[in-house]
Amino acid sequence: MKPTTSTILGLIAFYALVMVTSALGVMNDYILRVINLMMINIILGVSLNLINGYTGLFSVGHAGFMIVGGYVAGFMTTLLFGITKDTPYMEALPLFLVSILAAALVSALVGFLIGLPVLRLTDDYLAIVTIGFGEIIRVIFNFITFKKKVGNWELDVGGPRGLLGIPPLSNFTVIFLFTLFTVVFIRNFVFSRHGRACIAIRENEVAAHMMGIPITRYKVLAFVLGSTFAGIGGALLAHFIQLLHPTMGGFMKSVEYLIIVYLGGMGSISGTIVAAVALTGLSELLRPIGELRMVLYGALLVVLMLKQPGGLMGQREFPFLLPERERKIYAAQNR
Amino acid sequence: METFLSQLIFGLQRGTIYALIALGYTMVYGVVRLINFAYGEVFMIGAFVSFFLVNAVSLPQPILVVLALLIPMITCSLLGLAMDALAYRPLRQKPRLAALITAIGVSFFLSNFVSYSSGETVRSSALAAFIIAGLLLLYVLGVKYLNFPVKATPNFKPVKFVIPIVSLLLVGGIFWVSRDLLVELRWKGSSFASYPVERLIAIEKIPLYKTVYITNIQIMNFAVSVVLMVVLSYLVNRTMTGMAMRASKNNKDAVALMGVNVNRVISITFIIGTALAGAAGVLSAVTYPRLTAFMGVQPGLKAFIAAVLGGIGSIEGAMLGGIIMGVAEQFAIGLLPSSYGPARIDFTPLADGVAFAILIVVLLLRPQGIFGEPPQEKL
Repeated sequence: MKPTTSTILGLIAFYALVMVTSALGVMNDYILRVINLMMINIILGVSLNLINGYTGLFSVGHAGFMIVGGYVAGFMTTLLFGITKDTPYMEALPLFLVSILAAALVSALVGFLIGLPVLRLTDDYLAIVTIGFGEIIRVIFNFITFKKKVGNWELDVGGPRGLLGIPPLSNFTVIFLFTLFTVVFIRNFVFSRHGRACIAIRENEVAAHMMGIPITRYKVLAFVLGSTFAGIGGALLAHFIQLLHPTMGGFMKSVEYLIIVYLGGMGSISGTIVAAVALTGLSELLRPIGELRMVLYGALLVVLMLKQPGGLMGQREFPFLLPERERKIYAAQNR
Repeated sequence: METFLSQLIFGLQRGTIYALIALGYTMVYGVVRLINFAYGEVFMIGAFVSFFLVNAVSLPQPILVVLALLIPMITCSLLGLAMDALAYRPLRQKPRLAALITAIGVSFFLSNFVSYSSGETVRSSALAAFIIAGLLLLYVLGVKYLNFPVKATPNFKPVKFVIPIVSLLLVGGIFWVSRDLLVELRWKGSSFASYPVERLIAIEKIPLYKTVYITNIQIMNFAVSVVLMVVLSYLVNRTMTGMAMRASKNNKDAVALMGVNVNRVISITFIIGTALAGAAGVLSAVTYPRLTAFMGVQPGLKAFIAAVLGGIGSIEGAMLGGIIMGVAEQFAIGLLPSSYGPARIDFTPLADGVAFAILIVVLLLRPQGIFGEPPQEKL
């Protein structure tokens, strides 16, 4: 896409604002952490939206892919490369990027292996298989507790204790760039020929098939892309909260991302961004009421489906995310 | 041989619990094509209601046993009715995905609600339930007699509010009655409540064959499940309601044209399914007396897999699938080595994954399950 000047300026301004205020100490670490978390949630939400919103599949195993990426990257930086929090950042960064790449590849591979047989099933079955997948991931990471020397490194991802001591490599710049990359990539995918094929599958599978769209190929493509970005999000999250736990791959965590997607609107990147920011911010604001916010999340999902099934944004997008032609139409409508 | 037999007994017991929950899944799916993810939570609530009851009331043992099973079943069926009326019925004409998401929302809500209403917050939760029930009641009375809002639509039916109000009052009442117990127990987060089995029945081991034992709890378990399943079979196969249910499975519109109230049939399906899940919760609590707010998530998922394995929509399938699942899982627990090889690898955590492995194999080889019919594409 050709971004408008104002979009680029806005992004630069946002980046500069955060960097300057945090350097000057105007913005404290807590707010910076919340902003980072919002951006990671945007990555995970937008990638889930590609699967659930645009292609119309119903995956409830997004956290499973996320944690696969997290474990791969965490394992590589912590155990393979032996990076600790004392390692100079510039030395650790290339290795970190390699780990993120590996995480993305492994998640993509897992997504492909799961997706290829499973995507032939209808929505209900897909939902339950992806839940099952998340649970299997949890069981496996619970299981790998043994220490084993292979060459000169130890295989130990902690089992039920979780993987601890991951170096804090995800800083604002890294997360910002990856979020930008994810949003731009998925937005360009969605407005491309392939994206239209996915949307056609969502709207009517049989009709799409009649039009000559290879259904399974596009479903697998969307699923693999979604899980790739989930892996990237997981890698960033692992190096942000510095801890990985098998339960993070389970059903409960996946539901949180589902809520982001459905609150924002299925098939709207803008909606997902709004919902990720709003829900992350809200859950920080609601911290005093503790567990009650989980109760509210459940109720929110029900009320949302009853009253506003399209989510906040429906299928609309912010104008700056639209292609030029549609942006002009939008501008003409709002003149 | 002895190990095999005793594992089989444990497996059957585990299996009957899965089968009871799976029946709820399969019946509702058969009629409305909805996976009600919240059955695991109904299961959990059944266990907790029984827990409160047994702790709070002192009655002679036989009466207590019956009540400890019946009251949770009734509570759970009310809950099922409320779930259907509030969350699922309005979505019946909408895309199925919306209902599926709602089901996940309901499940999330219930488990977190129970988790939240533990410890010190129980008093405020009970009060909140009372207040919401009161407000609803005021709203209904206000609309009915005082023309309270400007828009009193002609199709305003106060009856629709009876179920939510009654269930809210019930939940609030249960919390209020057992508040001291709950505050004392603080089964919050990682901690748990343990079910007072000894108040119901004294555990006895009955020798069967050499070292194989069966406990009286297991016998009770089997008896209750068999009775429930027989009653269910009678209900589905021999009564008019059951006939309507089976007919709705085939063609809802035609059934409606025959003068059957399909919504009522669906409500009855929900009532039966949730009552069975509640009974399963009690049976499970008696066997594994460790209650947490999230205890229902895993059995719920596994029971759903059992229903898929048996062929979703088929009642015999759910029973058989549940039993196969329970036995397979128990054997996995019994047979996987707990310290294998020089590295002393503990394989038992993998037993948790057996159910999901079964699921993936079933879906790849025979997606319609054992008794299911292959789906027909209609344009």
